[in-house]
Amino acid sequence: MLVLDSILTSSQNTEHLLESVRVFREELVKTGEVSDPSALLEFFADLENRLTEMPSGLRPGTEFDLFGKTAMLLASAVDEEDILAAMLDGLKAVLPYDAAGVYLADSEIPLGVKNKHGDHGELSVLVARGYSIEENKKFRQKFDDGIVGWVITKGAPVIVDDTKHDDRYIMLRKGTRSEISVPIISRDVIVGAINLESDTVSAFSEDSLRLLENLASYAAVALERAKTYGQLIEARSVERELEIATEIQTKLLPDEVPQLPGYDFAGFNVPSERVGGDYYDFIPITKTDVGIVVADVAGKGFGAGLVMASLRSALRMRVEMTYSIRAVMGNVNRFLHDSTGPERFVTAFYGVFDTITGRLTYVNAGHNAPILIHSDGRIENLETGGPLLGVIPDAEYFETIAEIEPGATLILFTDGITEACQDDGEEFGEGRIIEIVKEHMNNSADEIAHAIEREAVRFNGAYSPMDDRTVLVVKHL
Amino acid sequence: MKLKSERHGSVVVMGMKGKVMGGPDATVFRDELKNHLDDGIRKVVIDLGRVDWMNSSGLGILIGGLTTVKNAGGEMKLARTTDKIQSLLMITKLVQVFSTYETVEAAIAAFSE
Repeated sequence: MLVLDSILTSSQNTEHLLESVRVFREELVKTGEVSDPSALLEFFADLENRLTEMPSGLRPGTEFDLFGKTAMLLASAVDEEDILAAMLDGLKAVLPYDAAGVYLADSEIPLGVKNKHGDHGELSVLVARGYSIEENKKFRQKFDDGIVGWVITKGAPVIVDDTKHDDRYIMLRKGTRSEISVPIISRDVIVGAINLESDTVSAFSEDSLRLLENLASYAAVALERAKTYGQLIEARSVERELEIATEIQTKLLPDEVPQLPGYDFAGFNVPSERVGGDYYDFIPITKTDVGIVVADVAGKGFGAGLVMASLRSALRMRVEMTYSIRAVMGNVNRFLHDSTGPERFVTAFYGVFDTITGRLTYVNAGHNAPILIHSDGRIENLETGGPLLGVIPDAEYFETIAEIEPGATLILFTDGITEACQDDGEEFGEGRIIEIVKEHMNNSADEIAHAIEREAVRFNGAYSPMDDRTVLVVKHL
Repeated sequence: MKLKSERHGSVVVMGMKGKVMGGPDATVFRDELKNHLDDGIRKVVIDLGRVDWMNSSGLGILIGGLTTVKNAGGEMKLARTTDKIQSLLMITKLVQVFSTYETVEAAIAAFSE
């Protein structure tokens, strides 16, 4: 920054100044001080254009100080209010005034379009110099009020040699006798105005106007930059929150599958958005008993993610307290009913798998029935249970037992798999899952699970949206 | 989703059309249902005959509707459930919760039984 300062003070013409800015830009990018070089480069390109358009023959010294320092501030991280204040202060040495203000329009007015805001739009002052506290309070005014209002609605500059002989003038400050006002135009939109007042009649000339118009183009850059940075920061904070939510949710899903002799477990989830509504779990109950859960929260995004998280803790807590599967489901159902609206519900399958006997005691609460392919090829759909969770507070749940004998494969999934849909409306369905499992019978549980998901995605095609997809596979070796 | 309501005596038939998938559809449905309840209507038939597609969020709309009507002391019935919706009701075991009818007329007639 200091380097640029010294170059600027020795700059004697526009070309030299332009060169200095280029050097400065390269330095900034090289040192890596700026995290987003593309935004910076775009800004510099804009700045260089403006410098190129700057009138030649500016007086060395003061004018260069003004424009050079403004350029430097624009390239730095200083906020727009401070930049505009420095502009007004620097301006005073070049173009003496008694009062000055930078005004902002509360709505943007496209250039060349007849102003429709008229009575509605208001002006506020961002930075002011030379006004008393009382005068400062009066700043907020309508678009069509006063000289500044006229400049903003017309998008054209104005010089008032004698305020006493101009109908547009509204007295805000005692002693003002002449005034100059130019619009701030950013990308063909009028965003505000710079206004100078003098206690002397005819204090402002055409030269003053040219100078002020140049300064207004810098002010436009400052305001544009503030807007871009604001959007960038906002986008980054939303992005960060999403990252955190994704991270938390990933941690809520098991990071490993049970390792139990004689069995091969697999499970994974692909959310369709950053935060998903699918949930699966392997809950260790005893050394040989494992709880298996797969659930789908209606809806997507943050809301579904929150329900998924509370479902997980509700379920895990109750699993620890009671061994009765149907009692667990009944409790979770009531809990979800009491803590969510009627449109928010969960379909869930929960079973406790005794790996010694190969018996799975389960309750299916309105979830897509897991498919059990027995060793002899017989298909069993694990349907027994009750309605989905969170809707009917006093719903009853029934449990039953499925035998997973050696050679049998159990597949649990969410509707993101079966509802993968082709353009003609045909759904992936359960038949295709069975075919894939039979094809991959000799592969590992993990390979089978991924083959199912992969085929569902292929079936769906690239152009239609997909729901969250979860697949669990348990093979009794 | 398109939604159109028709009065048949003391019964209102709300016809859903197109894709029913939660989000804005849920708001539209809820607002219109609330208007009917505010008008004193307690008998509601949802005509699903022209629904092309419904996902689980769409099902949430029906569940929310049923709860709202029940809480107001009314009754809600489904008419012309498509195969897809019937299968959703089967999977979620909501078949026992919703009364379904093959035609709108049968659903309306069921209120006077």
